[in-house]
Amino acid sequence: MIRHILKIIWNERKLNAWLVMEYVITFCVLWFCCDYLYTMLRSYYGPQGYDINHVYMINMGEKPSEKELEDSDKYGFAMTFMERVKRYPDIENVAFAMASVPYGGTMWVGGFRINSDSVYIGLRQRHVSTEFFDVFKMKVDGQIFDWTDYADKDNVVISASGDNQFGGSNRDGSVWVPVPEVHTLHHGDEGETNPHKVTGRTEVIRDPYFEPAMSNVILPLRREDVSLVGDDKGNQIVVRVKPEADKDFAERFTRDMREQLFLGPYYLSSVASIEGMRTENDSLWGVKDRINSTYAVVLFLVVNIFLGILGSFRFRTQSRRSEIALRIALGASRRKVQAMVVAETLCLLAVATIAGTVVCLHLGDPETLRSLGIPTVDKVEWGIGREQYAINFILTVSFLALVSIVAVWHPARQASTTQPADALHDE
Amino acid sequence: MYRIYFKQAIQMLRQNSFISIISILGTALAIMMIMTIIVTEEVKTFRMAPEINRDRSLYIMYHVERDTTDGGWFSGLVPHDIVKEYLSALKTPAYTSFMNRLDDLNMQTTVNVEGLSDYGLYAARYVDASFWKVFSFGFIEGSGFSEEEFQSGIHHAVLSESTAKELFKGEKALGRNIQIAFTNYRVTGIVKDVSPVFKYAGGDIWIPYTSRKEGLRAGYVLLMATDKADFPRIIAEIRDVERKYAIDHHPKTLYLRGPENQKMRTMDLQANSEQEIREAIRIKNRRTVFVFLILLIIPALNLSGFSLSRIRKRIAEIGVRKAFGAKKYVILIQVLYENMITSLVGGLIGLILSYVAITWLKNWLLKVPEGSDIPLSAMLSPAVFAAVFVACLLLNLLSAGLSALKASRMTIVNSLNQNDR
Amino acid sequence: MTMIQLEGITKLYRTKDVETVALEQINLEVEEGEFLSVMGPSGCGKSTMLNIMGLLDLPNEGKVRINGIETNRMKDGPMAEFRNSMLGFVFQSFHLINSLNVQDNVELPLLYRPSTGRSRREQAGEVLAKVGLSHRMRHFPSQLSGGQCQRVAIARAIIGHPKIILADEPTGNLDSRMGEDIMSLLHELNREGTTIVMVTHDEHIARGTQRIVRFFDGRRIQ
Repeated sequence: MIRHILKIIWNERKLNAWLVMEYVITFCVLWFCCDYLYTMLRSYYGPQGYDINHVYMINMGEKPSEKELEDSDKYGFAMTFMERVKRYPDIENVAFAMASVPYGGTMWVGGFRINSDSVYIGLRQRHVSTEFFDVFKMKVDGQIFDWTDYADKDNVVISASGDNQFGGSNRDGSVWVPVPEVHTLHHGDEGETNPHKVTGRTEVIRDPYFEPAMSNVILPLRREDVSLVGDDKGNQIVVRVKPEADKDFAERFTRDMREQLFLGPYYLSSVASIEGMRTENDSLWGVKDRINSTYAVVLFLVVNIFLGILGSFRFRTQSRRSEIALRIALGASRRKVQAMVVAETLCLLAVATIAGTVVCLHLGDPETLRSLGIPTVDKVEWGIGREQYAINFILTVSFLALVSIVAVWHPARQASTTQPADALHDE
Repeated sequence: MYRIYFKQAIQMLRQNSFISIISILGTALAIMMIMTIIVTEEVKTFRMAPEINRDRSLYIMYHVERDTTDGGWFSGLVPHDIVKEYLSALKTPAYTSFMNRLDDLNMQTTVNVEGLSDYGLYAARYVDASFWKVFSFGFIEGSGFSEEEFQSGIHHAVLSESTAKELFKGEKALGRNIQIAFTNYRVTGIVKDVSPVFKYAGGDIWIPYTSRKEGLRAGYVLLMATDKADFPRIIAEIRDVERKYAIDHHPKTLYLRGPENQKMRTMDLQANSEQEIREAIRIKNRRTVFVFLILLIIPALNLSGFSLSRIRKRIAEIGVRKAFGAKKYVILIQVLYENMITSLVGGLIGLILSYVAITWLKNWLLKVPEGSDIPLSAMLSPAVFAAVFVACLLLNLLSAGLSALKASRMTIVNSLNQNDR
Repeated sequence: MTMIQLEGITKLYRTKDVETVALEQINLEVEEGEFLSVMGPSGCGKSTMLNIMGLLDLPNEGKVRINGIETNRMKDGPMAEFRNSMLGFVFQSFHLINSLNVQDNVELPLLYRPSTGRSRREQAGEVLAKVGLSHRMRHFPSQLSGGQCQRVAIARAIIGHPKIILADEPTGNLDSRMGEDIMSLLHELNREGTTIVMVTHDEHIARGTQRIVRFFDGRRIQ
């Protein structure tokens, strides 16, 4: 039977070559779509190193006044603020930070030296109170500093870039050190004072979706930097809300706490969920548009491929009505004839699959894509390995097989259930 | 003769209804995608109140200041100092307006009616006097402020209709006092609501930035030309500004991105130098070509498969036509013509579908505010129709060209015997 | 006057490694107004000869002269015009276009020469009346019987007033009564002055024509 099928395929090789070509091209397109969607969605929805669910940012405002506040006053107001907010029943924890909150809009990159290295490289620095780790549920391997304890002032927590490497680049090049080997860090701005001692490590923190993660240095927030409003320094206040209290939290909190939070010149300005800030941020930078247009293009291609395969194979089978009829007239069972037509199609698909896989494994060059302005994701960075190929392969092949079988089987059934004489007469 | 071709084509479409539907659907989808992209681009640059001068506006949204000694640099919105010292002195633009960026949740300001402690948060736009010339606001009551009032730092505020309604609970707002960030202002104008999708004009409240203690440190610059033809001169003037700045502030250099016209603005280019912006445009164009190619080639591949199989069925017919004296090119034209009918029917359906898609997707695709309509002229312009026609023609040539050529080349005897090997 | 003149026609068919001789050094002359039958068993080359005569196929060797005109060197364009004006074809399997109705099928040859829609319709009406199918003008080939199809094919062959009609087994797919119908039509055309060359293997039908030429294995034997 198989030999017979192969013979039929060979005899019709000219038409079949066209079909195989169509298969190979659609295979490659589908493969690419799978690959692209998978990496993109994985980097969009994948773990980011922090949990923003039930986290809100509280923005305070400052009434215009003639005299500047002293640092100690600022600290005092901040402590009162923390105390009052913590007492609010919906709140799990409160943290102060500088340029640290994801989607907060501010970001600091400072020059650091790693261990005894003499080269300064850029690292993302975050200054936070100890509660910050708790608010964002960041898992730390090692010890977290106590920001109120002077003895801990030089202790830091670090997070790696992808691939468990810590480091960064400057104008002349880059330095990378495996995370466990990073022990001390010198901050360029602080001159050659005491080095920062690495006491803990947290998971990779990913701020931008489609670009490689930066290495982070998380430092204790200094007392003199604490402020409830943060125009210049990027001061931020975040709270974690009890999950059951998340509904309408912003509204309720604003209503209940407004009076209590008139602290000196400060007043409660707004409460925003980090989730909402993420959405805002996405639309501002066109992230959602990008994902939506990718969906649109992929959907378009898939529908087209669906129509193409459906049409080609259905047509091919329809034009063989008389052949099918003849086979039945010569004594083949209907089921056998249908099985033969389907098997023949799958044979063609198998040939195309081999060719397509070879092409795809050699063609997926991210450089080409980048030169076309299509955002790509560094797969190694995201720990996407060979299993991706398997996923692409399985999805692509099963889609093509399914569509082909549907396309072929229906007319084959039709042809095999009509009277052979009628079908023969068609020619 | 073409009438007969037409009749036959229609008859064939009816006889092979399945393939016909698939072909037409495939074409329609491709045309829909292409049209959606084209119309989207069109609409983005279309003039819509209050941004009615989009066609003669240039934007500077970003600057880079480099220190040539140590390679350090600072970038961001355009600083006020540069606007004051250099850009306000530009000669070619009719108006130069400077306003704050307002596309962030954190940028809201407290507003309360004087005497009431209950405040709400609103998006406040800090602007200059030219702002009212560059944009066309629908004033319901009162007016904006003049250049003199702006210079004096007058505490006047213009409110949007719904803001006024919310603050004053439906009472008359004009002439009343309010507090913006706990500072007193007088309401001197009420305008129709402006959607936040208008990146430069939108907001709830408009006040002179000179009325704020801190002024406006950095923001967007909008240059409105008297005529589009002045654009090159304005750009040249900006480059002069950069040179002048480099001399005045040696060893620092300045780059003012753009100035970008509306079309470039919609591309969201990111660049830190002229070179980078050229490269970014090149990449965008390459991507556009790539996307259009994909959108044309995949359906063309499918359709050419169909037309090849259809031609196979009709080989004998072509033999007969030739036997009775049809020349090669006549056959070629006939096959293309028949396919053209499919393409055009598909194209028409695709065009209609694209309008449906655009209307449906107008929020995320076009950033057209809820409630305001896409101008019909943008969708029904001759340019759009020409584009559909060209796309159909291309699709048709790509898909039917091969089979048409094959059909016209075959010898008559082979055709009659249906022997295409 | 000689209407068709074949001179030393040889036709070979080459597949990868086999060379088949279809016609070998055929000489044949057909006079104006003649009704000639070509007979022979299957595969003897008679259809090939008819194709060459109809300029549907090119010989490997030899000359085809029609109405005194040398055709071998003609380019595609003039050749097509020549076929259109001089020759009419009737095929065994009719070769009607299924997606066109009877009238449009018949008009086909006129489409390839300057003509108006009205004149085409008139002429199609005339020839269809001649073959007795005026009442079937709007039907599609699939709605007709075999004999009716062949009459449509003959109407199509004569609508352009060709000097020659080449018929390849015109009765081959028909029963004898229908076959006789077709033959009497052809005879009538012949009486009106059309030269007809017909390939057949039906001895009875061939005997009704003026001259019979017999082929065997690519050669003319009589």
